[in-house]
Amino acid sequence: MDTYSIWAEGLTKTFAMSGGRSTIAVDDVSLHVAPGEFYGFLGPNGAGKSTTIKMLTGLLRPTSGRVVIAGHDLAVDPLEIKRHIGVLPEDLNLYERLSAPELLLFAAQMYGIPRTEAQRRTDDLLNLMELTETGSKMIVDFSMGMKKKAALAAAMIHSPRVLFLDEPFNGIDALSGRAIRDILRTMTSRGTTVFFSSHVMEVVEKLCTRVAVIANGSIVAEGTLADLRKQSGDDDASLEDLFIRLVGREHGGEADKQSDDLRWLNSEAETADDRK
Amino acid sequence: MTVSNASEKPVSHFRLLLWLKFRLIWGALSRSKFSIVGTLISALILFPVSIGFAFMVYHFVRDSPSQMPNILKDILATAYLFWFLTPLLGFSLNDSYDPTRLFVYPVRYTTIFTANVVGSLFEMSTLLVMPVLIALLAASVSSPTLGVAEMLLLLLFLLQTIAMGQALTLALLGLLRSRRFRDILIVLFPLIALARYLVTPRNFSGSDLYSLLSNPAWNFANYFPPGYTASAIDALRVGDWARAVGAASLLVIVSILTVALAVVLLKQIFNGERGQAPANVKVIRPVARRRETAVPGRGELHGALIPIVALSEKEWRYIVRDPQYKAMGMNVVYILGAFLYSFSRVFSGREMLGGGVVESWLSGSLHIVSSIGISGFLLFGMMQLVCNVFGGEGPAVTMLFSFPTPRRWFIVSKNIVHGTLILLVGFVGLGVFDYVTDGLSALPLSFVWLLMSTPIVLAAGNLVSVQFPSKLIVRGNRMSSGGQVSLGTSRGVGCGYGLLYLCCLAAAVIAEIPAAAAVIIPSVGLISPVWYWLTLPLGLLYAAFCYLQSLKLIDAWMITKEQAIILKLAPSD
Ligand SMILES: Nc1ncnc2c1ncn2[C@@H]1O[C@H](COP(=O)(O)OP(=O)(O)OP(=O)(O)O)[C@@H](O)[C@H]1O
Ligand SMILES: [Mg+2]
Repeated sequence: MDTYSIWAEGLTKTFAMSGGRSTIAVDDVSLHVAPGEFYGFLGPNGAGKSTTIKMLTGLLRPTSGRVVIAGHDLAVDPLEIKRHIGVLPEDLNLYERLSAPELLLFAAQMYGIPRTEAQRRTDDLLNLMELTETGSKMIVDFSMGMKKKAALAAAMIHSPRVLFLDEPFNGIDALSGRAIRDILRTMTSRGTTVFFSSHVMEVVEKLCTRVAVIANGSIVAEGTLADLRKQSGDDDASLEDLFIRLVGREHGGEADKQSDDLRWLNSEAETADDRK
Repeated sequence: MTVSNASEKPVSHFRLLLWLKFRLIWGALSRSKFSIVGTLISALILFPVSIGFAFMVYHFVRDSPSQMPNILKDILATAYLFWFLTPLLGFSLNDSYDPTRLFVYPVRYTTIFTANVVGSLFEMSTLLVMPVLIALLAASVSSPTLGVAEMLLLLLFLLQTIAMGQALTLALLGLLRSRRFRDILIVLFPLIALARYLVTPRNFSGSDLYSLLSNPAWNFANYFPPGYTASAIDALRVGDWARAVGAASLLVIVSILTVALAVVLLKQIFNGERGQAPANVKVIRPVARRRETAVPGRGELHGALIPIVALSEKEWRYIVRDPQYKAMGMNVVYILGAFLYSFSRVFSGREMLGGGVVESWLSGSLHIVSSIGISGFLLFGMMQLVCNVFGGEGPAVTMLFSFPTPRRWFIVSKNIVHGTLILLVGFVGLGVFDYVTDGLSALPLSFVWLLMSTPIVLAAGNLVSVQFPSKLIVRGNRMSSGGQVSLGTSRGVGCGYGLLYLCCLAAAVIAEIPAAAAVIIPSVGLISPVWYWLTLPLGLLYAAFCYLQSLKLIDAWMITKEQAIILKLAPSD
């Protein structure tokens, strides 16, 4: 397992709910990701993607299971792991009262990078993310996409060996999106592992060397795009088709089950039209 | 979906909104054991007080019925003033659902507003007023029909009062939506509170009661709903029907106007949300050169120091920029002012005692003892900071804990900044105190005391911070690190934590006894002051020992508490 960047066995997370009940958000998930891989983590809403990422990055303690990142056991040496990973959490959680340069400088120094080097990296990343012009504006006053770019920059400022990105391309404009994709590609070509969740199938299809699909807390498919196609027996299927087939099956229904049940949606719309 | 089922009547918006309100009140109350305990404690303290006051009013009105019109007007005016002032202070007496979230539904603004007002009748603040009003009526009413009519009038008055308070909150909410305004207001609120405290009459004696009750100052209430209500009830009693109807209609009209005003405000907020300027167009520039950077050498000597400096810098920036800290700072200034005032009075009183043994003893040690007292009260004002070091992080705590820095450095760097702040405030406070009371010779000793006591208090605060993390609560408003004020305040939680911090301060005081002894014993002449050369270094050593012990404990606790702190400050729902 030391040869893997990300190695997880039997990851499970149970949340206690009110009334003594509990939900299993992630159920016996195992992941093996090699160095330099661009790994896509797909799944419908509420499937357990963010919960898995939080467990892999030490922000949430698993109910059971073991995580080894870059050769270190998360339960034994979490700080050593945090030295080597970068995280973009789903809800960012930035220091919003700092400006973007201040935040990046702060983050770099938290990884022990000396001031001058930290300043250089900050300038480079601000340039890359098109955030140079924000100047001393505080992050509170940023737009959603700007906040996400600042968070992304903070996650890569220490050139981590493994990057965990939870929906990195949500709300990012096309220009920055392209720049970020390019830089991520360069990073993986030099051995950085990128583990990211996304709902945008086109991006995943373009970037990822391998993908895992999670539904209801369990992995339902894993492999390269070619593997998945072979599994489904359809050699021309797009990732979106494959995804819908996989997840639809898991949910116990066909994708177009709505046609009958949702007729009222159209009729209501018509009556609304009539009223005009 | 049952939408298409035409025979079934939909639930009215009003009932739905009432349900929402009760659900939110209940949710806020039952969220944690702290809020339950806090609410229970405040109910156990406040309701007996309210009922006791009601009994007093009952007997007073029984004994002197002629005072009834005055008392009625005064009590109503006081309640009205309360509901008027609290929104200005940043509190709300009634929890509200966020009306702006309801705009997406096809609900009328009037319904949104009135449902909230009616629901507020059943909140603690309103229930606390009821016993007094009931006592007033019970003590003086002559017939059941009259009683019912008066009850209705009082109910309308209560509704109007709540509506006024809510409308005021709405008016402020428009301002609160802008971050800059919010920042300014958060600092202003404590100032207003301070002003209110200063104008409150003290040293009030019972003999002035009659003159107070009929003080002409109350007449201002005649122009406001309390006046109309009191006048209508009074008119009912004397059988002046024309005046009763007139005053009652005035009350109705004002109530309708209040609702109308609130609706206008709601509409404005809604429009303001929509009418925001479009996102500014971005200038496209080519992506600049990228440079590959090397991982820094691990063996760097000052590697451990860099994060501490970065953290302290960040903490300091937050203290300067985040208005919640400014509000806290105002608390400290307020406490300092109050105590300097009262202590300097004690000292001017002492001068009148004249010379003597007592006098010389006092001049020797009273200064140092009162310095200790003052520093204690200053610390009390900063307890929210000291006992909740992670509170100011808000959701950003997720980022903090994703860094590979050893956890004790988080605490140490926060302590460095907070400690510096405490020492600064303390030095200034004690310096002013010693100057005002003519005891500058005690100054060096006071400073040593501060140096000694600060690490101990920080140590106690650290332990509480790790075991009981919570979001920062400033003046009843719960704030995230982004600075959003949530509308639904949670006084229960605040009360629970207040109690906890008080306990923490008590524990710190106990831990301070050896340090205090090191400063006091030689000063009161029990042993020669020469002993200071021994007691003071020992005291400082003791303080350092306490602090280091707390760090040791925290290292052990952090392993299990880290997740809980993240969940508390950055809940994922
Ligand atoms: N703190 C929590 N307490 C209780 N349940 C939780 C908590 N966090 C997540 N869950 C539950 O765990 C499940 C998985 O959530 P998760 O956020 O991992 O989904 P996701 O795959 O990231 O979804 P999305 O695509 O919407 O981001 C959901 O059912 C969610 O309700
Ligand atoms: Mg998610």
